[in-house]
Parts: sequence; structure tokens; C-alpha cells
Amino acid sequence: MNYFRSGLLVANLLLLTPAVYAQKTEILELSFDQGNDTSQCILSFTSVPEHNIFILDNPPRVVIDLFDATLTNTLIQPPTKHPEFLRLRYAQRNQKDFRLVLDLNKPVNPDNLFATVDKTDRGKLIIQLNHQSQHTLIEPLTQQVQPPRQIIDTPLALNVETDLTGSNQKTYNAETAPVLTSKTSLGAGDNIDTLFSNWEISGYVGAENLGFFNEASDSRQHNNYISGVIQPEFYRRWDNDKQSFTFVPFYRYSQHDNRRTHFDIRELTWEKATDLWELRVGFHKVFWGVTEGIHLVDIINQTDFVENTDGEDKLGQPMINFAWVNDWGTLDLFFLTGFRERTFPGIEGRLRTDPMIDMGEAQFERHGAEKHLAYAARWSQSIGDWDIGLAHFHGTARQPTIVPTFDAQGELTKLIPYYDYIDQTSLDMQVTQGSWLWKLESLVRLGQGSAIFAATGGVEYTLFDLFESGLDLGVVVEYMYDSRGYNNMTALTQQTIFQDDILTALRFGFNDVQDSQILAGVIFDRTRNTKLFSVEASRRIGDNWKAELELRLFNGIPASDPVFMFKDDDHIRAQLSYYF
Amino acid sequence: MKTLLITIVLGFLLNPCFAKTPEEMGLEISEEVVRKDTGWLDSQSELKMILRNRSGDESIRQLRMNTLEVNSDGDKSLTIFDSPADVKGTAFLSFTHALVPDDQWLFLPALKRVKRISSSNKSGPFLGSEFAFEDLNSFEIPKYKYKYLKDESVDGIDSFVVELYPQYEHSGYTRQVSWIDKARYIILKVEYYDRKNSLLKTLENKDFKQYLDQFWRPNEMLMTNHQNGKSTSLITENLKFKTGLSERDFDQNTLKRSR
Repeated sequence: MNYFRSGLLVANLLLLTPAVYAQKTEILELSFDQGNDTSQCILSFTSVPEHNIFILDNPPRVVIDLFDATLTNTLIQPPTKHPEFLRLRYAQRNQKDFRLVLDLNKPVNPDNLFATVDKTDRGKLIIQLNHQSQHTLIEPLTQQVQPPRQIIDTPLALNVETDLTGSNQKTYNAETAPVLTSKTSLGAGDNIDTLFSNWEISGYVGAENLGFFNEASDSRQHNNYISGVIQPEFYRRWDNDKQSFTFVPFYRYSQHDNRRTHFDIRELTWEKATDLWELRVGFHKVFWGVTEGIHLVDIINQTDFVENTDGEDKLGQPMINFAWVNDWGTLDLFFLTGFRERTFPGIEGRLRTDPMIDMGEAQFERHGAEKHLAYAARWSQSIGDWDIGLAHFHGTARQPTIVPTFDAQGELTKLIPYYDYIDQTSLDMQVTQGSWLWKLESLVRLGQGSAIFAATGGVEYTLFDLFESGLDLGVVVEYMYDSRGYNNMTALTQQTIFQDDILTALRFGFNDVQDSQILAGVIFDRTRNTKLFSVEASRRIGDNWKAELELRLFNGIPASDPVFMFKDDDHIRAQLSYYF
Repeated sequence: MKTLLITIVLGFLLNPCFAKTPEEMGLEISEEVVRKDTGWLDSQSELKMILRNRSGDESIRQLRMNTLEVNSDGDKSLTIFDSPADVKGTAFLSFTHALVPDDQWLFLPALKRVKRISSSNKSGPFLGSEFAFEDLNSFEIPKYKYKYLKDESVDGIDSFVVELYPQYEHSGYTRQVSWIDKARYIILKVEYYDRKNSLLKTLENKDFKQYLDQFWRPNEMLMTNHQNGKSTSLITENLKFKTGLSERDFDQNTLKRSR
């Protein structure tokens, strides 16, 4: 990954000249000079402006920012076959400032670049490049703190000559200041310009249609929703890739459903990794678990339920995460610094309870800092065929209890989410043997009514390269258990949907150029006969487009099942996305 | 009679032509290929994959691959996909082993999920290309049985022709015929025969470049499928050896951070 390291930021030195720069400086002329050991670029002004000079890589270039400066005529290009300078680019950046960029033939060591201010003839700025490192003449740090001395008496021509012959290195030393002195990777040395370059930008924009087959139970709901989504990612790495910064904002606009129209910071993370540990600070997303049907032990992030009911979309969680990397496994410590409420559809949205869950009146067991702060730890290790994770979470539950309120007539008027304060210990493990994956997730949760035990586990078997066609066919069978059962109030209010259910699914991986995939399955409730059918398909179109299709059908739901609220909500979701 | 027998036996033993069976010769040549390619420690490369269908339409994949040389076992590698854009950030961690199945993990960036996956997928296509997973795995001696066939020249380069028989499970091949440069011990060309023993693919390694005055690597690996008319070029855009990678650069924590 070193080659991606955009190297970039080498520190820079702001050269302030005591000249009066209230009045705009004019750039008069630019000339190039070249000797055995040095190359020079000389800028002449009406008076030397305040300036800032720094080096960037990929392509190697020297950037010269001139503040309060303007250009009236054109500047010449470096001579062809100049050993150092490839070409010159320049432009007025804004009404005040001017920028010149000197493209170089090869990368330059910052220690070999010097800027000299000559004030004898109105004003000159001399950018000097030493060809070889042994000609670094200056003790960088001691010079850095001193303001550059000005050449007062020495005529420029003589100065240049001296420099080129190198016969009077001492004078040359004294009159120059290193532009770039140390290779710090972050911090005071960075200036705004380098901060805004070297970003890797990617992400997607998509258009979605969500269509329902049946009339809604509430007349305020609709049968079809069009929506759009954008999720760009801004990523930057430095310090030999040991540090990085990621920013992923997310926005979905949905027709009709004002709750599904939502913005989130999926990620805003600074990360540092060393041989022994990793540290992450900011909004981040963490996934725990191994199974396909439900993600039982995955608790760090709150579910973005309006985005998708499958529980795989998550809200960004503010945290400090320290990972200690050892031979005996990785120990992750989480300090979660802000509670996020689960999202629920709005009054005009589908896939909601009736009456809708009133997010505005959410209640919490703990308040203030206690509500917001949560702590978690996880040990994970791979031993041969085994991948094991053992975790504990202490804090406000991600899954709320839905508390009904009734009016005097006993009519249900409101559903309010109530967030308990819980302790949850979980285990997740997978054994990988040949084409078989054996999976188990289980948890014990205290603090949400009586102690809860839940588990899910099963097997995934894949037939690879079926009939030598490249097709992979995977079979997934998983069982889901929850001690809350189904016929009690807790199960209903905590929406314990999968308490005695079996998932069977087929996964088709076509391994074609378009990366086509289909996952089709049914979750069957053993005690209530409820069946949830789901088909997910995706395919790339061209190089940048992707089409996704999702079909969900709810079948045979008895009124006692929490899924009853979805009985009319069979739907198909189609999304077309452009990735950049 | 006795003297004649002894003469014949002695003659067999002393004649260098009979000193080694073709199997022993094939193994020795292959061991020399591995021996000459030992000591590079680690590598970082940027790769471009050009997939061509029968009518010549191209689609391009870009990936980066870090590899760690592991003595006495298979190599470790971390592959990061840069394009197509929808799979950007997906990363693949693999610990190859000589005899037991490889360990493989996939990182799915949308879910931030690390998934241990089955390594039984040997013959399936890698990223929809004409390269199968087994074609890209690190070469380990115990994975095959060998047989020297003959000497032949490839594009004017004097070569050994050695046949390889995969010994691991789930291989899509009955045999592979390799042309190995006699002077440099590098593989110039491979023909792959499918499970029905008919010619399936040909790999041509082109434009060899020497790194660190020792290790030869092809600039382009061209895999042509004779049965479906498709081909894939795997082009090395940048390759560096001895970059200082360690085991830590090949663990699940690094996999999760890969971009």
C-alpha cells in the first residue's frame, strides 16, 4: 500500500516579508536558470508578496502560492529538456491570490529546495533546487525557526553566480532558507491546499422504487414510493498508511415517508494502526457475527430500520475503539459515546406498526450521560478452522421495548419505544471445513425483563463450479431460538420475531463478468406457521452501474405474531445505482 | 550369463540417462524453479486484469496484491479490489498451505463484515476471469506430482516440458503441461487439460523482467480459454519486492482496514 501513499505532505514554511502588501503586487516576469548542481526559477515582482511554497508528489511538483498578487502579462515556460522543470502552470485562484505550479521531471527531496527573497530591484523570489542531496547545506531545524534573511546589498546576478559555482557556499547558506524542512506527516506542517488534495473519493448514487402489492391497512399509507440515495466516501491516508481518515455521509430522500427521508453520518473516523494496536475515534461501523438469517450478536451500531428491514443497514456510532493485537487474539475495547435511536417509518410510510411508533416520545431507563455511554469488549481469534468471538456489552439496548398506551376506552392510541439498560454477553463462532461452514451465534441478555437467552446457528454448504459452468450453489440452513417465546407480552413488545424459526436459503453465485448473484430463502416459524419469503438479486451493468432487486413476502401470519403488522406489506424493491 | 546380467544392471546404474526416472526429473526441475524463486520475502503489486469475451469486448478490473513469503508453508496474500467501482474496497486474505486446505477471509466493505470463506473453490473463475482460483495460488511442491516429458524450444528459448498432476482436492484439471526455461527456471507457458482431459486453457507468460537481479516476473500473463473463446490478461503495473511487510500486514485487523 506504500505506493498509494501520497507523499505528500512535507512541511512547509510560510515566508513573511515585512514589505507593505496592502497594495496588490504585480508579477512582472519569470525566468529559469540552470547550473551544474542547481536549477533556479526566478520571479520578479513590483514588490515581493507574502507567499507559501510547498512540494507535492504524483506528479512531482512545486506549488507557489502568492497572496495579494496578480499577473498582467504571460509567463514563459521552462526551456525544453530542462533537467528539473517540466512545465509551468499558473492561474489566479481568487480575487486576491495567485498560484503557480512547476511540474518537475522527478521527485525532489524537500531538503534540496530553497527559496530566497531578493529585495534589491523592487523584488525577486528565487526558487532553487539542488540536484544532489550532498549539497544540502543547511541544518534544517535551526534555520526553520529563523525568518529568512534578506539580501540587501548583493546584486542578484552575482548571487546567482555564486550559487551556481558553489564557490562561496557560506554566503549561499546564509541567504537561503529551506522551504521544506522535515517530513512530518500530519499537523502544523500541512496547509489547507495539501489537506484538500490526495483524497480518494468514491461512493454511489441510486434511485429506488419500493412497490407494495396490497392496499395498506392505514389509508394514509401509499402503494408506491420513489426514493433517491447518495453515499459518497472521502478517504485519506498518510503516515505510511498507518493513519487514515474516512468520512461517509449518507442521505436518502423518500417520497411520502418523511422518516425514511433521512441523513446520517455513516462514518467519520480517524484511525491509527501500529504493529501492536489500532485506535479508531469517531463515527464508525462495526460488525460482529457469522450467520446469514439474523445478526443476533451484532450490537455496536443501531439498526437503520427505515433503510431496510433486514437489519444490515446501520447508523454511524460515535466511539473510541482500541484494538490490542496479540498472538492470543485481538482484544477490542469500545467506549461508545453517544446513543442513537432506532429509526422507524413515518405516518405515510409502510412496513410500520399501527399506530406508528412514536419516536418523539421515546423513553429511556437511564438518562443523561448514562443513557449515552456504553462499553463493550470483544476477544476474537482464528485457530485453525475455527473463528471465535466472545463479547460483552454494557449500556442502553439497541433494540427497544415497544410500550403500548391506551385511552380510557381501552383503545390502543400510541406505541412508544422504551430503551432498557442492559448487559449482554455473546459468543459467535464458525468452523470452516472444506465446503462446509458451521455457524453459531448466541447471547445472554440481562436487564430487559427477565434474562433472555437466544441463539442461532446452522450450516452453509457450497457446491463450487457446478457442472464446470463457474456457477456456485450454496445452501444455507439455520435455526433461530429465543427464550422469550411468542405467547407473552415481552415477546410481542420486544418484537421477538424469530423465536423458533428455520431459515432455508439458496445462494447462486454466477461468477460472471457482471458478478450476478441471487439469494432466495424462506424463514419458517415452526410454532406459528408464519412464512417470510425473500429473494435478493444483483447484477452489475457496464463498469459503474449496479441493479438490485429485493422481493419480500409475508405469508400466513397469525394476529399473535409481531410480524402481523407486515401482513399487507408484501413488497418489491428495485434500486439502480451508479458507483464512482 | 551372469556377467551379461551384471553388465546390463551396471550399465543401467551408470548411464546417467537411466539414473533418474521422468518423475524424478520433473520433480527436480520443479524444485529448482521454487528454489530459484526463494528469498524475495514480500512483494507489493498493482495489477490490471483485462477480460475479453469472444467478440473482443473488454472489461477491466484493478487490484492490488501484497504477498508474504512463508518458508515451510504456503505464502500469505492480501488482495484489494479497486475496480469495478461497486466492489471497490472488497479485500481477500489468503493463507495458502501445501497440504491442508487454505485459510481464506473476505472483507465486505458495505457491511464492514469479515467472512471466513471456504477454500474448496479451486476451479471456479476468479472475478469472472479465465483465471481459476487454483491458477493464482502460490506454487507449492507437494501440491502436484511431476513428470518430465521432453525438451522443446518456446519462441527460441530452450525449455523443459514437464507435466504436473494436481494432488489437491477439487482441481478442475487432470494435468498441466508446463514449458520451463532451462537457463532461468521460469515458467513460460502452461497448457491446462480439463477433467475430461481435453485442452481447456493456455497460459502465456510474457515480457519477463528481472527484479533485485534475481527474481523473474512476467509483465503480462495471458490466459486463453480454447473452449469458450474468452481470454484474460493479467498485467503487472507496478511490482516491488522486499518492502518490509510482516505477518501483521496479513491479519484480519489489517483486512478490515484495507482500502
